[in-house]
Amino acid sequence: MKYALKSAAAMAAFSFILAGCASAPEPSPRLLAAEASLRVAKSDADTMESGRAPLEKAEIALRDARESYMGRETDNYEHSIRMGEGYMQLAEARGGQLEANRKIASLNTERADIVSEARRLEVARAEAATATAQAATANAQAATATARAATVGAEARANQSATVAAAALADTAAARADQAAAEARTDALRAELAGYEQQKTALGVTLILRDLQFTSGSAVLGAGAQGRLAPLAAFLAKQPDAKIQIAGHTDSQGGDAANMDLSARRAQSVAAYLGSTGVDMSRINAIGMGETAPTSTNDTAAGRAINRRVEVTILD
Amino acid sequence: MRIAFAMAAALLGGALMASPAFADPARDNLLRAETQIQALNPADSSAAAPVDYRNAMLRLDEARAAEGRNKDDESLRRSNEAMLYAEIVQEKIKLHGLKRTVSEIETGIATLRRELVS
Repeated sequence: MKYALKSAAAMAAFSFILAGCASAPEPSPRLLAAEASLRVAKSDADTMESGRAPLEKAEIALRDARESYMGRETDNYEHSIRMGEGYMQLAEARGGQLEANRKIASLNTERADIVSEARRLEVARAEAATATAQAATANAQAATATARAATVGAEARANQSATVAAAALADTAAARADQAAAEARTDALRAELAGYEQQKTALGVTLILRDLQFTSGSAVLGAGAQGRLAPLAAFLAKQPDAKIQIAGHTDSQGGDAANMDLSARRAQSVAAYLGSTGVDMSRINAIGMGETAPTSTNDTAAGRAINRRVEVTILD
Repeated sequence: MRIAFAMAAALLGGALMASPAFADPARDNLLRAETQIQALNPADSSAAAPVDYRNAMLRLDEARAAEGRNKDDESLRRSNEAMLYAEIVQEKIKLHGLKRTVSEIETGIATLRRELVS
């Protein structure tokens, strides 16, 4: 009996220990992890906002899982914890969707702002391009105006050139007319003064009088000299504008100074005679050349006769 | 007469309720799970939620097996799990698409900004 009581007490104690161990098993790491994940998910605003219903189901499922685990209902526990974990994933996915949708909305706003800015810049660029085009047009117009002005100037210059050319032509014509007149006068002179030896020089037409007689060694005209000068006097009377230069020349006989003096006085004598016929003395320039401009040799009598002369140049 | 009619109606209702179409929730749940999983696009599912997709099909197979063993409770639980995984896959596919959209918009914005700067 005593043994029976002892055995019963021992059995009771063992049962109590077993019951204590069975009633409070340690939760599985998986269950603890799932419960921790649930707490985290519930603290996330997005997950709570969009996944409230799944989270509530997850909470219920995990509570069932804990009870099943404690009750050692393995299949029940496995099912409940799977459902709890699954509902949490569902809630997290919906929370992620909410966050993504918010991000998309924000990005769309950002993109719209950028597009708006791009359009504003495009408008600004277009306005700048228009302004540039207008400036280019203005420049082109200015260039056109300048070109027109240049054309007008060129035309004016052309007209001026034409005028100048016309004037030049007129001058040329006048010069030719003068030349023609001079040639005509020369021809007339030659005709009227045919009795004199003539030579065209740079100054005009020169009459060479070698046979004009002077008293030897003096400047006094000989008896025949006046008759020899008569045609010249008549010509000068008919040509009141004509001017003459009278140059006396000697041979080399005698001194230079004396010859210079003699030639000057002989030229003056001729001038005096012409003045006596009515020719204004202002039209006459008389000079002595002495022996400085011989036209032949002074070594022979014939040559010296050629060198002794009076030249009357009718100036052009 | 009225009593006889009422009894006949009650018997008919009871018979209908007892028929397989109304009395096998495990089988109905299994069919719903199959339909839900078949509706998933395999490519999208594999890309967005490969583990969950695999779990859904695994649980469906287990549900079928349990149903074959006449383990209705187990089949019911596995098909419920399969439907939950299928729903997770669907939500993750949506999330994947949204993330792709975010990425595309961000790329577009970066391109726009480059164009603006240049």
